[in-house]
Amino acid sequence: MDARPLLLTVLLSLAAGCEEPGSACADDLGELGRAAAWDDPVTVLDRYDGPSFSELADLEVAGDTLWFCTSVIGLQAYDISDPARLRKLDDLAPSGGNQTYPRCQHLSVAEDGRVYATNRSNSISRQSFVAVVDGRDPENLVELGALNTPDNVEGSAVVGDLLFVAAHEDGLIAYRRGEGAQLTELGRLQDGLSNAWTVRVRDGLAYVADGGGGISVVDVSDPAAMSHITSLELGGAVKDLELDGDRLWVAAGAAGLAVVDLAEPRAPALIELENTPGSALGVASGGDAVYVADWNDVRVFDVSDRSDARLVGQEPLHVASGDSSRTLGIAAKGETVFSGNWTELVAYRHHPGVSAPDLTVSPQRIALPDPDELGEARASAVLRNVGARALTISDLAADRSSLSFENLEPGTLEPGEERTVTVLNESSSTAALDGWLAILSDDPDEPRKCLPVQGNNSGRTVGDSAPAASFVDLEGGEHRLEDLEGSPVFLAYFATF
Amino acid sequence: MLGVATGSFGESQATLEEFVEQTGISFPVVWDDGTYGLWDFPDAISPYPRQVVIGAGGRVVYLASEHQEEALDRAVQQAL
Repeated sequence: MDARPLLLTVLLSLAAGCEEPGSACADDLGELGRAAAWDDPVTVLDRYDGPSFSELADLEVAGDTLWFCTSVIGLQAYDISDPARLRKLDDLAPSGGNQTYPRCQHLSVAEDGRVYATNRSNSISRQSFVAVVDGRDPENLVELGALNTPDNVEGSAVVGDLLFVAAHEDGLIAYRRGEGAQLTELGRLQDGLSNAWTVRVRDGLAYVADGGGGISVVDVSDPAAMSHITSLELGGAVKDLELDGDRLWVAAGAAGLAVVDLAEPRAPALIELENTPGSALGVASGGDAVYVADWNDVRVFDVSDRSDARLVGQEPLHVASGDSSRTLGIAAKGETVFSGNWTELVAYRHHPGVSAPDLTVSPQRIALPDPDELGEARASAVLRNVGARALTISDLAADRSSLSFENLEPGTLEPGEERTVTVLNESSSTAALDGWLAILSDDPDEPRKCLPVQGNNSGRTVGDSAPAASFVDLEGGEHRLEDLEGSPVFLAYFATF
Repeated sequence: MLGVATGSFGESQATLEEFVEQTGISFPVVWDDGTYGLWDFPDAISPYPRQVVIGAGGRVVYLASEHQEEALDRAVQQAL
């Protein structure tokens, strides 16, 4: 198989949702959905399906415009005056980026309409820049210029005529914003910081999302002489945070959502950690809720009690069988939420006060091992009711008679309850298996929850013998795996963008 | 060690040669002529990077969809 069609297949199927040709297991929102007893606390308003977005990361709402960054296209502006009808206004490929993939990782929007789009360097792309874009007319974006820098720039914040940029191991950098694209470095701080992902600034204090270092507080009242005050480690890699009155909401990676008290602004205190199944990468707040981009889904927490974040809903990614996508960024305007993942921009509405059962299954697809000598293959999955009401499972279905849940019957899962179940396939066939199981319940979100099941994968896995394969190098020379037997081999599949 | 480059996403001989020069890579860089699908890579965020370590005896000892330095180090040490 040639690499090109394979990769195109990956991207196309990422965008295709669960409705594969020949598969009857769509997450059916038809009659079943209408028959559900509960309203859904989180509903999808619109999806803007851009297969070429790729890595839709940082999002920011300014008035009726949603700004976001994607690796492949660059900076994007969308009209969200009607969030049920997302409409593209313009896009811009920063000049500092790669020709094929312009790149844009983070952005900040200034009140004067200038947009600061940053791109970090990495082992593949070494082009770090801060692009300054005139965004006053979002239908006609114009790059004013760019600061090309050796610093590993990531998230930023605009405060008056200052721009603060978090720059990973290069720390926190303060610039004065001059005319047009002019940026003059005023100072920088590395001491006390570990891995600065982004920053929020208020009253002369910067709160840095400091990766494994947690949250770091920096006195920036004199940008030419910034000083580290304190850091609060949270047990996960902090990549995003949001200031909201006396609270700091923190996306703390594997540690989940952190609720941090800022009653004493120079000494943040952890109130609670709400663990999440994925990795909390982005956080936004609106109304009495906090929204988390959590890898496999978007999670909504009610924070009307500001010391007790309570999960009230989640909206999973709709991922085609066998592939994966990731929720990377999030922004909110009141109860309207926007999230970005690998291929889509999605708009949601949170309905405060509505509660319902909510079923999640982990992992999102089942990979069965090869059948044993009895012709049986088993794998486990964990069902959880993450909703606020009891979940009633009414029926189970499969696309073939050999496939079943070994230890699951229709019944009830209480709020917060989880159950480990076994997926069983009874067949000694060695043909590739691409099937599904479905769980029918009163989850209004997914009344028919699809669980793709695959088995007898033809690809080599750990423990298998290496296949025969040959490669041609840039000079035309041939390299064959067979010829390398007796030596260890390391293959690194890469791309230059 | 082989660096296996994709033939997709607009990658060209010129792009690769420039990349090899800029990065100072000393190991051979080869084109992926359909070998990507030979491996059962675990759940991934993006199509790249992918890493395969094969032991001296010809068995696959490591497959990864993302670069995980420590795990890769262990696998290479084990294979050596």
